Amino acid sequence: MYTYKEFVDEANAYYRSLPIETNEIYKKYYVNIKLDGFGAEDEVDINKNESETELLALDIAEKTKIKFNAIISDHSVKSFDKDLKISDSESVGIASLTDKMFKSSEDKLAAFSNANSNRFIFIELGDSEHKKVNLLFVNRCSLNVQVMVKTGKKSDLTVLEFFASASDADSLVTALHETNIGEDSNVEINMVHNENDRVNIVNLYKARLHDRSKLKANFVYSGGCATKTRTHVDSDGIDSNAEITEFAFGAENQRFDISTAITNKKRRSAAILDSGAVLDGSSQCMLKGFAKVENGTKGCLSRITERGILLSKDAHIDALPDMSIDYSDEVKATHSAATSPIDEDALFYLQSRGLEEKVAKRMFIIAFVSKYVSKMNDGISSEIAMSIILDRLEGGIPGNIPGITANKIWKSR
Amino acid sequence: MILEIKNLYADAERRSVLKGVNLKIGGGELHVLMGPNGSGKTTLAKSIMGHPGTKITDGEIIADGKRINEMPVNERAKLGIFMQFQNPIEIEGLGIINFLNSARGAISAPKLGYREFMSEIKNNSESLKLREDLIGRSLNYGFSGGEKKKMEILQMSILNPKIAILDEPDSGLDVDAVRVVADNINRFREKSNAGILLITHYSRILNYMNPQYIHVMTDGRIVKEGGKELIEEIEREGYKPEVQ
Repeated sequence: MYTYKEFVDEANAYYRSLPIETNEIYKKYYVNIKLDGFGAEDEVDINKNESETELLALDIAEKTKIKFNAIISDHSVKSFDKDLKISDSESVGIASLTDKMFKSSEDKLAAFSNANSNRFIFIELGDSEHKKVNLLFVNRCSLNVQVMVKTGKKSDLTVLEFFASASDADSLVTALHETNIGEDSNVEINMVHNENDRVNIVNLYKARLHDRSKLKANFVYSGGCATKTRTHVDSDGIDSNAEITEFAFGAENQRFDISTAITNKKRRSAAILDSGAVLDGSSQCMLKGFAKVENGTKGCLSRITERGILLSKDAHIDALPDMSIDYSDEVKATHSAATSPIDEDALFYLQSRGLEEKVAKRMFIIAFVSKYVSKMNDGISSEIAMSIILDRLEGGIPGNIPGITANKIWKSR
Repeated sequence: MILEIKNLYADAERRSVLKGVNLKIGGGELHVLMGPNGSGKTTLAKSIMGHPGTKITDGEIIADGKRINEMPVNERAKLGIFMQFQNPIEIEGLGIINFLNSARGAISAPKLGYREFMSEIKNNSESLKLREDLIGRSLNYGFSGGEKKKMEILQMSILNPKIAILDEPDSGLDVDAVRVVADNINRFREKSNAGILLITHYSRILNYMNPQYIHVMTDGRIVKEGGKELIEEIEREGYKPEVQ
């Protein structure tokens, strides 16, 4: 097992050596996330606080009005879904999940996560099955989880993963996810990270799509003091379609290092990445999108769009789209990036319709945010994500859970 | 409302653009402002509305006897001044209905129930021959040039201003659309008794309207004024050298 200290040196060195990180464009943009010093026992007496954490988790569930299938914290698990496999050991997992995408032998960060993970959630759908799963993760100390998803053919799955904190202790949250989508299946993964501002977040995500399958993976990062994400999605099926949407809202001194690689591997596959950020205070965000179009991918579509809005002069966004195109027969590949303060002419336009400057700015930002949040087809997911961003816009701190008034959410389940 | 522009000087992009403009627009009056490219027509419109990129260096803008030179943009809108943009802004993610409803609330327009509000939007959309599905979309996002212009006229009808400054409502429109837009401006004017300043390069839209005052602007000044006969003269002879 890796210790935190060994990991800090090895994982950072390893990640710096990966192709995406040695890319000339990216290599100077790197957030060194603090990954050590989070020994749970040093911070909180787990046993003493167990029931308190549970209560806080249930309080979050009540505030968000979401009916969770399971509530998972660093020292307790409450499952309300008998079909959901939750274990403290990987061995009880999906038997057929032999082709693990994260290889511990190659990937030190995955190795670290594997070695420290104490919560494994397995969601497996057979052929022609349909399911919706809402998961609440609550960290009091450090929480290391893995969510493994695998679908059969012609299945339909929606997953919400909502991350929150139940204490203000310095903590580390690592979340490793694998999504393997069978032929003709549709999967929507919505992830909302809303930990408090003393949490370091490492979010790892890999997905593989087979023929004619569709993936919508939507990530919203609002919480944490430093967030490092590594997402790799392979459109590995003919006519497969992957849409990855990432959005970060930062204030104060929050740091985001968001790195995403999409790959077209088969004919007529689509891989689309939309990344956006709104930053205030002296927060910083790196949006590193890398697209690869492999040989023999006739008729494929590859697109990266990165957009950012800066709300203060000290906020900083590096939007760095990059592409590697190995094939050019009927291939559509585009990338673009733009970062700016709120457009003066847009503000003037809104104000000319009677709206106060403050209201106009808010309206403009909400419109920007909703471009990303609205990619979530699942109403519960988009509502909670939007509520959190709106709360942040009003000055709410990371980790705050705003109440949701929309009864329809509760009723929709 | 009476809008008075008195000896107005203004800079835009660090260049002196308006050089002593005088104009007075009363309720129910239709004024047309014509002039060659770069003569300062849009800068005048922006100055009246309070665009931060235009800087008034001298003169006054007076609305109903009140000097509004330093008034915030939204306050001018609340007074009843409306500007139709030559290039309306696209804002993806901002729903038109939400936006219009907020704008109505901001300018303290008479409150309407949801059904009444939607019915008003629908009626105006129909008379503008604006596709119904556009109303459910983001503000001007992905609209054609003509659709954007029609959306501006729709906003004017909904917000019901006392003075409307229309900056090239006809540019980029096909022949039929020009007529539709003109008809809607006429209808709004009759209904509201608002004063209108219409900025245009072409006489085509004026074939469907009945303006009382024509002003010709050149190099930041109004150099010629008259009635409808001036349009014919400009159409025939262009902006003559002495005018330019």
